[in-house]
Amino acid sequence: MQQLARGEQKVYKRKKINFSVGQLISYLVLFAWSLSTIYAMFWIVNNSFKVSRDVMNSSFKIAFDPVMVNYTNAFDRINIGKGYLNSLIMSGGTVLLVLLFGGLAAYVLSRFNFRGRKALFSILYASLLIPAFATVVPVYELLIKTQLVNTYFGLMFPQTAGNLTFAILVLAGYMSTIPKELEEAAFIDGCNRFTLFTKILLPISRPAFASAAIFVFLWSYNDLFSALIFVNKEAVRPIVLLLSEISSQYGTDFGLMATAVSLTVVPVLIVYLFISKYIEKGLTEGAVKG
Amino acid sequence: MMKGDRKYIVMFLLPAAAFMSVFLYYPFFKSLFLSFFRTKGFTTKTYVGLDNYVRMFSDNLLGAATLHTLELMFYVIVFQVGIALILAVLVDNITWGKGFFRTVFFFPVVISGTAIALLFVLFYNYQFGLLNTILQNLGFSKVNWLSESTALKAVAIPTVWHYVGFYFVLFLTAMTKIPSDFYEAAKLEGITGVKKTFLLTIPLIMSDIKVVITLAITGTLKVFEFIYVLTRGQNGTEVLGTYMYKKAMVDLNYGYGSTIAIYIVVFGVLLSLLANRLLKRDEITY
Amino acid sequence: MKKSALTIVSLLLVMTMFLAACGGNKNNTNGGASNTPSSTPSESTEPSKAPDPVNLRVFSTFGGTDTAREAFQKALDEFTAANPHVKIENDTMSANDDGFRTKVNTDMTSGNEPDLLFYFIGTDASEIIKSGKVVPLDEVLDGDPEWKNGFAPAALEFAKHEDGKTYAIPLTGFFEGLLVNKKIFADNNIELPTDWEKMKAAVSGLKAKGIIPLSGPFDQSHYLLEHFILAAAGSESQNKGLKEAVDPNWAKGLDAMKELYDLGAFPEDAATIDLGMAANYYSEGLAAMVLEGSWAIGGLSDETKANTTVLPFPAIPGGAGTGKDVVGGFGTGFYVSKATYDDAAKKEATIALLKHLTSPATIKNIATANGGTPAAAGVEPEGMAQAVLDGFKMVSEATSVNSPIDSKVTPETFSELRANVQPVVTGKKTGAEAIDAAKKIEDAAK
Repeated sequence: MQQLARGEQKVYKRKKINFSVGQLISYLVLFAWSLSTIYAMFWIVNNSFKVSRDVMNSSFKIAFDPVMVNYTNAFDRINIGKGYLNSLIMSGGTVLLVLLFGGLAAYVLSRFNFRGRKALFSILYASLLIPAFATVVPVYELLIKTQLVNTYFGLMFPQTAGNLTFAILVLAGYMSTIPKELEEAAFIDGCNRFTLFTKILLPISRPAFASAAIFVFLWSYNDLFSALIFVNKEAVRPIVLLLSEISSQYGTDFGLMATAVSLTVVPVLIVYLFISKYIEKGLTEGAVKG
Repeated sequence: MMKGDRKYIVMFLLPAAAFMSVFLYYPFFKSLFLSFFRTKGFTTKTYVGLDNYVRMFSDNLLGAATLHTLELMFYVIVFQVGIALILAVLVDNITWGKGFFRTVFFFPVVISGTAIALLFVLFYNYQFGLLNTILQNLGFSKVNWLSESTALKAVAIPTVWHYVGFYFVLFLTAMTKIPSDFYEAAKLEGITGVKKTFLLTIPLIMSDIKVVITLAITGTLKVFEFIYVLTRGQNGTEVLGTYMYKKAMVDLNYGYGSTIAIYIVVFGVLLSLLANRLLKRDEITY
Repeated sequence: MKKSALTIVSLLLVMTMFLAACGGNKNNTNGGASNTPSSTPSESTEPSKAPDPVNLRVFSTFGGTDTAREAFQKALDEFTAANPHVKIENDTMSANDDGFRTKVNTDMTSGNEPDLLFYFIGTDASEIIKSGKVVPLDEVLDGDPEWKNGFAPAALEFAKHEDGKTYAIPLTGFFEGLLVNKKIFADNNIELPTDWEKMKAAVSGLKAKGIIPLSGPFDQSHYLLEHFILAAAGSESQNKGLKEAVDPNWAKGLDAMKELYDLGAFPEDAATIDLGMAANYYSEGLAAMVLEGSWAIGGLSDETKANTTVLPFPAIPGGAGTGKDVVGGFGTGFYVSKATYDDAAKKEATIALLKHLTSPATIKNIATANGGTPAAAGVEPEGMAQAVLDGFKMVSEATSVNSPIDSKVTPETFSELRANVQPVVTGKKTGAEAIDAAKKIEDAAK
C-alpha cells in the first residue's frame, strides 16, 4: 500500500514530458484496444434489444426501437433469475467460507512463529499446481456419497478448498506487513488471540480481504468446469451453466443469446466500476493465480 | 510466543486444513490411486497396474490435445503477454487517462469466459454469424472461421483477449514501482523513448515478466470453457482440459480420466520448471 | 466409506458454527450465514399417515426446451389439485446432456433416488435394475387390469427388461428417421431419397444449388452413426453391438458417410456445431434433410414443419440393411424406486401418481405435445403434424424397429465412434480402422 502510494507520487513527477507524436500514437493504440472492450459490450447490449433476425442482418444499427421480448424470454423460458440467485448464493457462500477460514489461517501463518510454518507454506505453494482436473473425479465421488452433489454445498465446498490457497497467501502477505507493536499493545490490554484477530487484524487487513473476496467471487462465479459436474441440475444451476446451454439449445436465437450475455455481464460491469480500485490493489498484493 | 498459542494455532489452522485436505489433497492422491484402475462408474474397479499409462502414451488424441495446448500456450505467451506489455509501456508513458485505461483494459477479466465464448459464437457462426454477415454484405463469400486449419487460432483470440488486462495491470504496477531516479539518470544520459523501454523498463521488471509467463503457462492448462462452448474440441481444438472432461465425465472412464489428470499436473509442473530455467536471470533489485 | 465422509463433512460444518460462536456476539456472522441450509431436495422419508403431507420427487427429462414440458407440468398439477396432501418436486434435466446418464446412475446408487424416475429403457437401466434400486411393477400392473389394459400391448412388451419383468411404465414412444423438406426437393426438381442412388443424386443436386443436403454434427453424431450403421449392418448385427466379432458391414456404414461427405452432404461447419444447431439449419430451411427424432418435429418452424415428411434411411449397397429398418421404440418409462416402494406412506401416493401420469388422457396430452407414439391403446393424439403421422406410418411399415446403437455399446465405445466420424469422412482413417478402434475400447471395458 505504502509502496504503491510512493510509486504513484514518483509517477506524478514524470508527467512533465511534452506531448509528442509518440504520445499521439500511444493514445491511438490505447483507444483502439479500449474500443475492443467497450464496443464489444455496447454491441452485445445493443443487440439484446433486437429480435434475432435483426441481430443477424443489421447488428451495427442502434436499437432505437428496443424490443423486450428477449428479456421476457430470458426470465420465463430459461429462468435466468433463478440462475442468478443460485450463483449469488453459491459464490457468496464460497467467499464467506474462504475469507473466514483463510483469514484465520493467514493470521496464524503470518503472525506466529512455530515449527513447521515453512513447511506449511511449501505445501500451500505446491497446491497451486493442482488444477481442478486433478481432483474432480474423487471430489465428485465424495459429493455423491455424502449426498451433497447438486446442492449448494456441492459447489461451495470444493470451490472453497480450491480458492483457500490463493486467499491465504494474499492475506498472509498483507498481514505480515502489519507492525507487531500494535498487537502487543492490545495483548497487554487483555485481548486474547481471537479478539486480537477480530478487533485488530481484521479491520486493518480490510483491503486485502476485499480484494481476495473479489477474486474468489469472480473465479467462483465464472467457473464453468466445476459447475458442469457438481451442480448440473435445474434447481441449483448457476448462471455460467445456463450460458453454456443456451448456445446449443437456442443456437439461432441470437437476440436471446445477446440478452443472456448482457444479463450476465452488465451487473458485473456495474459492480466492477465501483470496486475496480480494490481489484487492482488486490492484484498488486498477491498475484498468484492465473 | 504467547501462552496458549499452540491452542490457537491448531484451532485457527484446522478449518482451512480440513477443507483443503478433504477437497484438495485427498482427492489429488485419490486421483493418483484411481489412475491404476479400470473403473465402471464408482461401483466397480479393477487394478490394472500401468495399463492406463501405457494407453496414455499410445493415445493419439491425447498427443494431439497436448500439441493443441502447447500451440495455444504459444499464442497466449506471445500475444497475451506481449500485448499486455506493450499496453503497459504505453500507458506508463502517457500523461492523462491512466485510470481510464486501467479500468477499461481490466474489464474483460471480470467477465466469465463462458459469456465471452458465447459472444464469439455470435461472431463466428458460419450461417448467421456477425463476421460472415459482414463478408456477405461486402460481396465476399462466407468463411468457415472454425475450420480445421483456423479453429484453434479462432479460439485463441477470445482466450488472449480475456486476460490481457490482468497481465497489463501487473506490468503497470511493476513499472510504477521503478524509482524515478532511474529514469532521471537515464534522461541525463540521453536514453529516452523506445530505447528507455528496452534498456531500462523491461530489464527492471524482468522478475514480473517471469511471474506473468509462469501464470500464463499454468493458466493455459486450465483453459476449458472457450473450447467447450465454441468448438466442442473438434477441428483440432481439443485441449488437455476438455479431453480429460470427455474421458472422465462423458465416457465415465474415471480411471483413465484420472490418468490424464495426473498427466496434466506433471506436464504443468515440468513446463513451469522449464520456464523458470529458461528465464533464469539475475534479478535486479532496487 | 460413506460414513466416514459424512463425518468429515459434518465435522467441517460443526467447525464453522463453532468458530462463528467463538466470535461471540460481535459482527462476525459469516459462519452462520454460510451455514444456512440450502434447498436440498426433501429427503424426509419419515412415515406419515394417509392424510399427512407426502413429498414426492419426480425426476424426468421434461424440462428446459422439451416440447412436452408444459403438458407434463399440467399433469402433475392435476394430480396435486386432486390430492392436496401430496407435494411434488419436479426435477428435470435435458437428456441431450452428456452428463444425464451419469447423474441418474449416481443419484440411484447413492441413496438419493427420486420417487419416480423417468429414464431410458434397455441397457442404460441395467445397472440400476441389477443393483435393485427400482422395483418390478408387474404386480401393480396385474392388480389394476383397467390401467394395464389401457396400454398398447406392444408398448408394454417393449418396456420389458431382458429378465422378462417390467420395471418401466412407458409413456410415449419415439421414432428417428430422415426428416426431409419436401418443398426444397420439389422446388429443385430432385427426387426424394428413397434409395441410396437417389440419396447420392439428391446430395449432389442440392449441393449444386447451395442448399445444405444433410444437416448433422460430427461431434454429437448420435443420429448419423445410428442410421448409417443400421442401414449398412442391418437390424440383427446392429443389435449385437460390438461384443463379439466385428461385422465388416459396420465399416461400410462409416464409409458411406464419407461417400456422402465427398459429395458435399454436410454443412460446412459440421465439425463444430452441435445437435441443436444442426436441427436449426433444417428448421430455418437452410438444409433439406436432417436425421432426427420424433421429438424434434414439434420444435421446427411452422413452415418447415408443414413441408416435412419422414423417411427411413435408405439401405447402403453391399450391406445387410433392408432400407426399412427404423430406429425407435419406447425408449423411456417411469421407474419406481425401491426405497419409495417400501415406504408405505409414499408407495400409495407414488403409485397413484404413476397411474395418473400414464393414464390415457395424460399420455394423449404428452404425445400431442412431443409428437411421440402414445403408449396407450386407442389413443389418437390431436393436431398431429403430418410429419409425425408420416413417421408413424414409417414405423408401421418398418421391417425392424431398433433401439439406438448407443444403447448397445459402452459409453466410451460410442465416444470413440463419435470421435472418429470426422477422421473417417475427411479420409484420415478408413471406416474399418474406426470400427477396430471402437472394438478395442469395447473389449478393454469388459
